[in-house]
Amino acid sequence: MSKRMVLLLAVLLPSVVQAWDAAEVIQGLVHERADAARFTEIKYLKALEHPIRLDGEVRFIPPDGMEKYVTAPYEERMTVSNGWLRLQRGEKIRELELERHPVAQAFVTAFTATLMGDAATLQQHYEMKLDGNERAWQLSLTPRESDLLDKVSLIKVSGSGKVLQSFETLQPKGDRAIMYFSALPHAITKPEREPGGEPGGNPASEQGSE
Amino acid sequence: MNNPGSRGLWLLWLALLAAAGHWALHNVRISSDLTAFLPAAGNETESLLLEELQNGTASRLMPVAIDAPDRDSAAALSKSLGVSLRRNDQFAKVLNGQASLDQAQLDWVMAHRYLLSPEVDSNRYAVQQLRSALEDRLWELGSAAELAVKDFLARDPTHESLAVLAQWRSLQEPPTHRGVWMQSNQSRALLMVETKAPGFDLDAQETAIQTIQAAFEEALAEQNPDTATATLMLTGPGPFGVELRRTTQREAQVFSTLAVLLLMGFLFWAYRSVYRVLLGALPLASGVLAGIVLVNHGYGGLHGITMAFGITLLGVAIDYPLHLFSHHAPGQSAILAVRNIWPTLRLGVVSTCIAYLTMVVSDFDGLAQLGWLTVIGLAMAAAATRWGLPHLMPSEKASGAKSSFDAAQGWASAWYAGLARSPRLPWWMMLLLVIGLFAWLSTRPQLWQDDLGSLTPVPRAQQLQDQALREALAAPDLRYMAVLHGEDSEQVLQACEALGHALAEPVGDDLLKGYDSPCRYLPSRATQERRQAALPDPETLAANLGAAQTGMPFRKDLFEPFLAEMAQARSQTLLTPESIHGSPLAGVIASLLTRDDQGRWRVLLPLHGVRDETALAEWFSRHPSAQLMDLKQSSETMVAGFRDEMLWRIAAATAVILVMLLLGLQQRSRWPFVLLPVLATVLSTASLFHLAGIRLSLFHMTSLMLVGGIVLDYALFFNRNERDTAEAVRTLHALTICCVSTLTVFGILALSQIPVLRAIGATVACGVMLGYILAVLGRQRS
Repeated sequence: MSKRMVLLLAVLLPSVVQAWDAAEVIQGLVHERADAARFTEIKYLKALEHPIRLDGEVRFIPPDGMEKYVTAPYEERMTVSNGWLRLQRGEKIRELELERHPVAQAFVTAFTATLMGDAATLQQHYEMKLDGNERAWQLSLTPRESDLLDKVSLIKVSGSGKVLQSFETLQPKGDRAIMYFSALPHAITKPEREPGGEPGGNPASEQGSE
Repeated sequence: MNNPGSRGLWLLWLALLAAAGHWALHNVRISSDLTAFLPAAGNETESLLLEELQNGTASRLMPVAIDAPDRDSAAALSKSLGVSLRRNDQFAKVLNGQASLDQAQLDWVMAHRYLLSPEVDSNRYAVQQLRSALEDRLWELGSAAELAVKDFLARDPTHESLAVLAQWRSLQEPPTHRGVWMQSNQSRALLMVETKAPGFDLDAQETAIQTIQAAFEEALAEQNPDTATATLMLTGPGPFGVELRRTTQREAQVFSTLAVLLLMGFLFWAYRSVYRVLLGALPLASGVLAGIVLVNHGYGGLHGITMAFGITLLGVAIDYPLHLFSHHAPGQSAILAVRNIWPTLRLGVVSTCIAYLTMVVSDFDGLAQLGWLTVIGLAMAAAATRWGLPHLMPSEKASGAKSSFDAAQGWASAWYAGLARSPRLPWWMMLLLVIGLFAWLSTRPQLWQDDLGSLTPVPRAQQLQDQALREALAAPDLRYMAVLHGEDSEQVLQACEALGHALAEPVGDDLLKGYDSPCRYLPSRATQERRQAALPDPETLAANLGAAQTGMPFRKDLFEPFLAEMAQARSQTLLTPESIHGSPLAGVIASLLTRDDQGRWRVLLPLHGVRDETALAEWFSRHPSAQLMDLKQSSETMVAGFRDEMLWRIAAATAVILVMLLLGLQQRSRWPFVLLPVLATVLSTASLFHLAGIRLSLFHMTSLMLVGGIVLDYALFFNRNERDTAEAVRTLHALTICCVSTLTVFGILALSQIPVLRAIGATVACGVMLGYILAVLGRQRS
C-alpha cells in the first residue's frame, strides 16, 4: 500500500464514520440490551431549591411496557403496560391512562422504542439528530406533535457503543430530568461508569451519596 | 272550452291558481316543530317536555363517528375535526375526549375555585392539611410518572381547581386512543357535538351538518392518502330530521309523479278525454291552495305535518269531479248533471266538513290547523265542482256528437248487472259487524303506537346506529330528570344542594349511576359565603404555609401567588345566576337553571344510568320537594291524550254525521245503510292492521278518517234514489272510477320506503277497497 493510499484513507475515514446513523445506533442497543438496569435520576425543577435525586431499578418489558422501581429516598413503583400506568407508593395506588399524561407517555415511548431498536416509531413521533462518535454518541429527539412540544421540548439519549448511558428529558420552562443507567450486579453487560463525560452532565455520580 | 265565456273563466281560474300557488310557494311558512301536535302545556311535566322537545339538549346532541383504516388515523381525524369545530360558533360543545373545557373556561374555574371547590372548609388550610397537600405535590413532582400540574403549583398548591373539575367530569367516558374517544377495539373515533340551534330547526341543522362534513373533508385532506377511505357518520335528531326531509321530498316527488301519471292514464281511459282529465284536477288544486293560503294567513304559518295530513285528507276531493263526469249523460247539459248529483254530493261534503270541524276547536294547535285546512279545502273543492266545472265542460250542442261519452254504456252496465245478483247484508248484520269489531278492538292490548318517536319516523336501522353510538359515548339518555322549584334563585339552589346530598343514598344503592347538577357550577349564596368564610386571613395563611413548608425543598417564595389569590378570594364577588349566564360556562348551565315568565326558578338535574325506576320513583315520593320526571313516559301519555281526544272527536263527528243524515237524506230510514258501511269499513281496516301486528299511529288514524269520508260518499251514492237504470249505472261508473283512482294513488304511496307514506298509502288503499265492497253489500234493496 502506497503512502498516498494511506493518506487517502486517512482523509476518507471521517466520512465513513459519518455514515453511521441513528437507526444503526439504536439497533445496536438491542443486541447488548440488558432488560434491567440500575438508575439514578436527578430532577432539576424551578419550583424547588435543590434537585431531587431518585435511585432505583428500571426494567424493560418488551415490546412497550416498563417498570420503574424507586428505592430511595422513598419506595415507589411505576408499571406501564397496555397503555396504562400504575403508580404505587405505600398504600396509595393510582392508575392512569397513559394517553392522558403526555409527558409520561413521551418518556415511555422514547424509552421503549429506543430499547426495541424501533427507529420507525421514533421517527414517527420525533425529529432525530445524532451527534458525537461511536464511543460517545448523543441522540436528540424533538417531538413532532406541537401539543407535546408544549410539554417536552427535547429528549436526549446518550450512550457509548452499544450501551445506553443516560436519558434526559427537557421541558420548555427549564425543568429537566436526567436518568443515568448502570448495570445491575447480575447483568451480563459490561459495567459502564462514565456519566460525567456527558454534555450537560452533572456533578452527581451514581456512587456518590448525599 | 267552446265559447269565449268559458275560455275566459278557464283562463281566469288557471291564473288564480297559478298566482295562489306562486304566492304559497314563497310565503307560506312551513314549520316542522312536532310540538304543535301536542296540547298546550297543561302541567309542569308537559311544559317541560314541550320545552325539552323544542329546545332541549337531547334534540341538539349529535353523536359523530369517524371510521378510519386504523386507530391512529381515526384519532388524528377526530383531533383535527374537534379543533376546527370548536372554532365554529354554530356549536355549543364539541367533545371528543380532549380537554372539554376551553382556555377561557379553565381561567374562569381558576378565578372562582375557592367559591366552587367542594373541598373548601375551615380545616383545609391548617398547617397539617397544608403539609399533606405539599407532600402530595412534592411526590407528584418527583414521581416516576411526572404527574404534577406544574403550571398551577404556585397558584393552587391545594388543587382546588382540580377538585372543581373532578366533580364536573362526566361519570364515565369512552376509552381513549391518542387522547381521543374511541369505540373499544375498533378504529372508530367518537365525538359528541352539541349544536346551538334546536334539533327541529332543520335549516340550521343542515348548515351545521354541512359545516361538519366540510371540516371532515379538510381534516382528511391534511392526512396521508391512505386514510382517504375514512368515513364520517352523524346521527341524532338533527341529522335524522334533515335526512328525512330530503328522502321524504324525493320519495314524495317520485311517488306523486308516478301516481299522477297513472291516475291521468286511468282517467283518460275512463272518460276518453284529456280535457276532462285536466278539468278533474281543478277542484282538488283549488281546495288545497285555498286551504294552505287561508290557514297560513290565520295562523301565521303552517305546520309541515298539517300540510301532509291535510293534503291526504283532501284526497277525497278527487272524487267530486268524477261524479260529475260520470253522471254527465250525452245530450244533457253539465249544469243539469251537477244539479242532479248535488244533493247527494252536498250531503257528503257537509257531513265530512262538520266531522272535521270538530278538530278545529282542539287544544292541539296542529290538529286545529288540520281541521281548518280540510274544511276550507273540501268546501272550496265542492264549490269548484258545483259552480265552476260545469261551465267549463263541453256541451253536446257545441262540440257535436263526436266527443259524446256515456258512462251508462260499456263496462259499467255489465258490472251493474253482475252486482244486481250480488248478495246483500241486511242492516242488522252490518250493525252486528260494527258492534262486534268495536267490542273486539276496544279490548285489544297494544292497539296503539304511543311512542312519540313514531311521529318522526326514522328508519329502524338508523335508530339502532344512533343508540349504539350513544351507548359507546356513555351519553346521558336525558330521559329521567329531577325537577325543583323555588321562588328565588337562592331558594332553588339551596334545595338543589340538599337534593344532591340526599341523592347520594339512591346512588349508593345503585338505583342510578349519578346525576348532573347546576349547583356544581353555581353553588347557593349560602354555600359560597360559607366557603369564603372558611378561607384564612393572609397572616394566618402565611404562617400556616411557612410552618407546613419547613424542611421541604420548595422555593421559599414559590407560593406567593397562592397567598395573593387567596387574599383576593376572601372578598371576591359571589357568583350569581346573572354573572354565570355571562360567563364562559353559560352554555353548560343554561338549560339546567331557568326562570319562567312568572319569575319562578326551576332547576333540572338530569339523572344518569337509571337502573331501577320503580325504586327510584319510590325514593322520590319520600322527597316531595323534588319531582322525578320520565320524559319518555310523559310523551307517551301526551300522545295517548292526543289520540283519546281525536277518538272523542271522531265519536262526536259520527254523531253529527248521523244527525246530518237524518236531516239531509230524502228517505230518512236509509241512514243505517249509509252510516253502517262507513263504520264497518273503518273498524275492519283497523282490525286488519291490528291482526297484521301493526300498532296504529296518528298516521293510521288520519288515514282512517279519510277512508271514512270517502266511503261515506260511496254509501250516499249507492243509496241514492235513481231515476232509471242508466242513472244507476252512471252512479256505479262514478263510484268504481273513484275507488280505482284512490286505489291507484294510495296504492303507489304504499310502496314507499318511508314509514309514514307507507302507513298512509296502505291504510287508505285497504280501507277504500273494503269500503267499496261493504257499501255494495250494505246498500238498501232498491
